[in-house]
Amino acid sequence: MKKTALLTVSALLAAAPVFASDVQGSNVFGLLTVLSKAADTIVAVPWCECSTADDQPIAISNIVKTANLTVGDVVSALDEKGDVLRTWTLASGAGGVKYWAAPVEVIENGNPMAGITADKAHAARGAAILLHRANPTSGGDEVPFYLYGQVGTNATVSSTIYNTGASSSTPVYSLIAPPTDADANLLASGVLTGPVNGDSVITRSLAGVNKTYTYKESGASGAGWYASANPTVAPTKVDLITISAGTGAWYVSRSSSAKPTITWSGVPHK
Amino acid sequence: MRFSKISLCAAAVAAVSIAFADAANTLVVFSTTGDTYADGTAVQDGEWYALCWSANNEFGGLSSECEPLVEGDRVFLMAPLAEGGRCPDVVFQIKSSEAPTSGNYFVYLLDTRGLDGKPSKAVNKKPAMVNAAVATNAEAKGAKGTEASSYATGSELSKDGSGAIAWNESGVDNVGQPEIKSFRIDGDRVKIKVANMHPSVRYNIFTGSEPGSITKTTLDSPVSAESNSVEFDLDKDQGKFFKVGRQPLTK
Repeated sequence: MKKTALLTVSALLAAAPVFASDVQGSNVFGLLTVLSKAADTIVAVPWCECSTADDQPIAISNIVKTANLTVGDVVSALDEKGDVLRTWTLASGAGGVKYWAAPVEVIENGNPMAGITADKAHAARGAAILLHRANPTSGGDEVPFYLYGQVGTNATVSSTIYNTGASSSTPVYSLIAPPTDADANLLASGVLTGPVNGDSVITRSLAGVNKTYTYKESGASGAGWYASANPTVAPTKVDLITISAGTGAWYVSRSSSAKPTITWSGVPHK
Repeated sequence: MRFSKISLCAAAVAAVSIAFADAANTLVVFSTTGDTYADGTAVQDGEWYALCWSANNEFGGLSSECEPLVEGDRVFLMAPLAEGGRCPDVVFQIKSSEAPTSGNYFVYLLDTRGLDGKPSKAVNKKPAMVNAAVATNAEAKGAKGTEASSYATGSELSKDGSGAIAWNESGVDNVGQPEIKSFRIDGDRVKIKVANMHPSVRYNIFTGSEPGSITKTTLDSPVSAESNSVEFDLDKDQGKFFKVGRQPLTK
């Protein structure tokens, strides 16, 4: 038994607030509403699986609420090695309950095999997945989608960048995102280190507009990230690569010689 | 000072036995569902309640100085607990060496309203003297309170009725920490299923804009756990971060 405080009757008033604060939930849940008009969205993974253990990668089936998605919508995620982009298609099951149908991804002896189910594939905070929606708008207004899950406890989270076999002619793609519920700047101090000349980052706005940033070791304004408003304008050096809350980005590696790192610090945690 | 007779809700009585289950000390759990003063008005926040004990089936009453009128009767707890027109869940622990071995517990609502109509502030950690009209209105003196529980544990009751009392820190440990087990959205509602709940505790879902400052309650009235698990039904737009916790005794 825990140490028991001995109090006289008259001292109990002071003890009451202590009692009141003790029974608190062991986990915190987050709900992020993403107001997107885009048919194709790079979706962040800001939350964890609901678990007594902290910071467990969340199942693909649990990242995006399905109720306001359309049967036929698709989510995609890279596998653990970054080699395969798996896809799951939203289907309607018994009683109209929607579920992510497993992809057909293995051919054995000429027979297609069901791939891993969406509840068995996971993504960790710092990663991103892709979402394709048939109905991203309604009456001209965006149809939001919802990300919800358990709030992670790690204040520092990394995004994995794959670059095995990457070269200028064979780039390797990674899906990255801030593990946060707010907009984030990829170029904030200490976040992205070690980019290689020619690497690029592709963001996608909530309106579905892509923007490409390219790292140049010898750019017109020195080493750094460059972008232009349109192809007819020479790219200029930028100090902001903003990734909107609930969304992610492609990191495109063009060299396998050195692996860049992305480390997010001070992100929401309980 | 006068007494008002109050009733214990069934849930509180049920909680007593659970609280006793693994405690070497004696735990008394009580709450009320809604109380009124003798004049029919609802009890005000901050009004005092008293947890009393008698070896018999009837508590002999309190003096205006809040002392038992009958030798041997005891007052274990006197505190301004009223909140929302009732006594919230209180888990109270009595050290085993001080706990009565038999007898009955009673819970009383004390009317400590003064000339300003407000419940008394604490003076020497008891209610202050109330105005004379109320203080002399002792028609309820000796009225029987509602039995909270009767049991046998511990040793002889100290004769002077002022034995040491232990606040229920170990009781809190026994209650355990609630845990969100699932979280889903259904239209404009958020459904949060919570497990590891205790029947003696009232819970609410708290929200906030940051994980570290989740303090706003979402439900007007906290929920008592009738079983180990309860699903809360909330407006989706009430917050970004959600956490379950005990509804505080004091706001």
